[in-house]
Amino acid sequence: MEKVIVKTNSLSKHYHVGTHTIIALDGVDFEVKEREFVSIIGKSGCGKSTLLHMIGGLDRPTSGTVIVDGMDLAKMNEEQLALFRRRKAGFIFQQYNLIPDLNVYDNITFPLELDSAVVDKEFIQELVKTLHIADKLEMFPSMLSGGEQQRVAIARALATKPAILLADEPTGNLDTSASHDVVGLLKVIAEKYQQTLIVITHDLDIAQMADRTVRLQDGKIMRGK
Amino acid sequence: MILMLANNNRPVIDKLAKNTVRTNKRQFLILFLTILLSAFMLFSVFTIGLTYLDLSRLQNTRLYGSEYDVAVMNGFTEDQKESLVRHSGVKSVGVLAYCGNVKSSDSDRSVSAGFLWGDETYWENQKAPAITEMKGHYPQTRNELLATEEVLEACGKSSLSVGDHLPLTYEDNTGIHTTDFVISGIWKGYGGDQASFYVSKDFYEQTGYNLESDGILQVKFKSNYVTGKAIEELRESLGLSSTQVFQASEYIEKSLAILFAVLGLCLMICLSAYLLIYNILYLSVSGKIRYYGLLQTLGMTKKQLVRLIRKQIWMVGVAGITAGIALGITISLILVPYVVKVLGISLGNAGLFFYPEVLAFSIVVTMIAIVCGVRKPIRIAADVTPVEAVKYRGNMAMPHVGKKRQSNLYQRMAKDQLKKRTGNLYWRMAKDQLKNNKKRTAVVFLSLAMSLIVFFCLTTLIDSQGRRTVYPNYWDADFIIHNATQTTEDITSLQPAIDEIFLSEIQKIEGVEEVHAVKGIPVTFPYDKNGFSDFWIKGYTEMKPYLTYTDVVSEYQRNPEKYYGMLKGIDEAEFDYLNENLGGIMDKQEFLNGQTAILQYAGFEIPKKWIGNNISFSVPTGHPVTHAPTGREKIQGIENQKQKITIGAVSYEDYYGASVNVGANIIVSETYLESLTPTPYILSLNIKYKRSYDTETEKEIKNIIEANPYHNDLLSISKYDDMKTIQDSQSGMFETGTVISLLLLLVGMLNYINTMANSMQNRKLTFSIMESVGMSKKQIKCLLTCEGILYAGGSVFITLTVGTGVTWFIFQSMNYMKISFTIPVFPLLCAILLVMIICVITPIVTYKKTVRNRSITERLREYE
Repeated sequence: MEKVIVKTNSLSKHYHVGTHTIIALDGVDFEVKEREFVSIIGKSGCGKSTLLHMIGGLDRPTSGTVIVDGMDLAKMNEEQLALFRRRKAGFIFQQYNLIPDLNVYDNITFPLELDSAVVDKEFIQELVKTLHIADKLEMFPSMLSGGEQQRVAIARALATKPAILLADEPTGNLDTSASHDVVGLLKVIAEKYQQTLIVITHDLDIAQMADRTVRLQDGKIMRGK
Repeated sequence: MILMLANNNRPVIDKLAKNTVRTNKRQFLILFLTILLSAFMLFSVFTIGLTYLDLSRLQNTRLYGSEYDVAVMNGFTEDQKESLVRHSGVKSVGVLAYCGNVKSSDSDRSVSAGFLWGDETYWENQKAPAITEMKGHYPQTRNELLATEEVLEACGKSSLSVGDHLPLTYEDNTGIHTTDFVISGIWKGYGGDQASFYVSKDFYEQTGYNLESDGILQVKFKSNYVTGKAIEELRESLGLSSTQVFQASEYIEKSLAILFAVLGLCLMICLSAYLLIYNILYLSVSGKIRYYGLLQTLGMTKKQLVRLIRKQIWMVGVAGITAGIALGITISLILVPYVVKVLGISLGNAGLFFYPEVLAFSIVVTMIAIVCGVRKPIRIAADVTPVEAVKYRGNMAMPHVGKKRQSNLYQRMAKDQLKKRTGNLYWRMAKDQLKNNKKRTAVVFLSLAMSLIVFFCLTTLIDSQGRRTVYPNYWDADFIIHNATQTTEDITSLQPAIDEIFLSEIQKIEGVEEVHAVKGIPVTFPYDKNGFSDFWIKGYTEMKPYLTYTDVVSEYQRNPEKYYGMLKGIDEAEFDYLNENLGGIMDKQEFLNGQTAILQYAGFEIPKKWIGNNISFSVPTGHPVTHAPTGREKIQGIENQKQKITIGAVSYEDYYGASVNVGANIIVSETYLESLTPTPYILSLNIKYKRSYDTETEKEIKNIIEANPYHNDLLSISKYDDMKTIQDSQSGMFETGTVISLLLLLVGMLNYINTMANSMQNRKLTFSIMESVGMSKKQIKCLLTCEGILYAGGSVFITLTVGTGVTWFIFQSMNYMKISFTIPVFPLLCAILLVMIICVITPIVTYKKTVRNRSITERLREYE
């Protein structure tokens, strides 16, 4: 039986805006198995990104637990969470979120350098070749197209060989053809490196490429737990 | 067809501008504070600076005893005076004249005090600024005297007050007289004339002195800054005779250089204010690009947008300038007078501290800085398209990559795409950060370095202020002691006030490095018609018009000991120094062997023929005799040994003339002197400390003097005391200078803090991204620490290189006393340390402030 790598129990997240309380996640119980490709769909504001952020250690739950690869993220301090993000999770954002002051190569190796780890040059070379950005390494993010920036973001997420890849609408800023290319690449790479892939998307075609699709509504899982 | 007609939309724009400022108070607060700070800095620095310059001039007036720039000495003609009075560049021409000296009072048989007369211009205009207190009035009648407490004490009459009688025996050009004077007034103040009495015009006219040969003209220019050329032209216009001396004060000769140095400082301060405003305006406008884009999307034209931004900035600007000037006025008009009052300095004019021109200047400079500073940011805001503006994500733009760099870049890419970059990640990223934001880096470097340089410069000047204005003593002595037991006519009056025990006690003091003694013995010069003694009598009687040559010659022949001179012995080191100042004309060995001597100038011309000539003198052996043996003579019952020595040079150093004898002072080697008399008197000590101005050593020497039974007859000259006197006369300058330098340092620091606060605001997204991929807060702090160290290091480097050069240049241009350039290490190190600490702490604190306790997700969402 395949191991569960992500498990949330009664996961809730509330935000306070002025006098209002917004319930982003409302008691979500969710599991993802190792090497599984899961897509999360749902309307804007249904809590998809919040769930992904909780799994990626970018935010803390109001209540409930998030266990990733056996680690309870709710119990970790900030320093431990930073280490978790650096070593265990690779995050791909819709806005790419590349560091503007660093060139492509430095952006990709940045998480490794933060860890003072030796850069596996062969692996990085293989990665940039697969992602078709081998000739862009000395360019700065603003010199690249959206698709290229997204591929750099993927390379950065993969550079540390994380156990889990989290992609928040990775194709949101790309055209249809580029979108399919990027998700296809993600799927191939995740399979190649035996990684778990969780992708948030609005695009049902992309969602269908996943092993399993989960639908969120008003902070609750409606289908595909 | 749609007609594009212009309509009056100004009120809408103005209203929007007001509302934006009102609703974004926090964002505009930094801009407001920056403008306030700049206006305040300009106003207060210039106000305090001008006060400093005024105090500096006042201090010079006090140093010289009256306010003048040029003196014409050794007499003047009425025509010369008239031409000076008519000169367009001259403010006032005062007359001062010496007219006799006090010999004794009924309480003291050897008084050393002079008589001076000054005309109304001198007393009312030129002397007045150096007077702090005046009781009574300037002498009007022949028997009235104006005194100081010092001169009364010198006469042994310190208890006298205005209206009291003071009988004195004095000497003038008509002879020696005794008169019962009345004290018409007592003044307190500054100057070298405190050991003199001022007399009335009537008194002056009957002393036998005349202005054509003895008068002094003191000239004050209208401007405080005069070129060397103008001074030279004035000198030439007077057609001076060969005996007249035209002397400009060193201060006025250096005045233009001082002015340029001050203007240089002004320029640096104005530039600093401009950088401060430009930087914050730039950051402030670029931070609102999204908002301006939104307005363009809603249909606002570029022209309207520019008007909106200008309106906002001017609203904040006017408020900032007003508040800054108000703060400046409050501090300058309250703080500075308070400091001056606490220090007890009398200026007589409280309005001195408010300069309307400074007020106008500060407002204009701040406005110019705003006008210039706002141009570039406005262009950026207006040029950005609405779509670009909406996509604008803080500083997510590409770092500046020029075309050249891009082409190289592609070539490099082809070569080695995966080359490993070396060096620590944080340092590398910090360096990139500084490199990629060249403008911000330059602004921070310049403003920090400028504050540090001004601090460096002012502390160097302040630190040297006392030293710069102290005239060095002979041979740069720290302490000089003269044996003042001699009287004019009594050859036996000299007492052993300084003996070998006293000398060894001084030598034993820990802080004393070397002591050089001038030893001596009274000698007589046998009368020789047309010989040396005859020449001396002629010179002496020229200076005493009431004496006739024939009377003096017959008196001299009868009692040569009444006209005794001194044989003064100096050591080898002292000879080396003296000979160097004489141009090295003396042969050292001949001098040490006692073959040659140096004659001390005594106030009358010494013809060249005496150089190389032998002179004869008699040295007392100390043995009482009834009949002098061959080769010896009897003077006052004491056996005297006849000697001859060759005059090798004439010295004009006052140090060797510090004696009251009528006869010549002959400087010989110590060895030669001791070969003539085994126990010479010690006449003077020249003491040098291991550390100049060492208060401990100074105190120990004074204690030894106090314990000496002859302490009343020991005349001391202390470099430390001179410096203290000058510091007292310039009190207030130190404090005002310190206030300026600290203020500028503070402004530089605030500029850095402001810039960093804005920079952190702009880089908020970058930090959130870094955290999202695993950078911990600790690592971000490390990165920011590296950046802070680089900013501080760069600024300190500029300060220590360029700053040292600038400081040296300004120091030398104001250094009219020619003292050595010394860096005030301690205050500079403190300032550097402070800059380091602030530079490192500020980015971390501002980062914490921008992050607050929000999660990475919340921070990233701000930009979605």
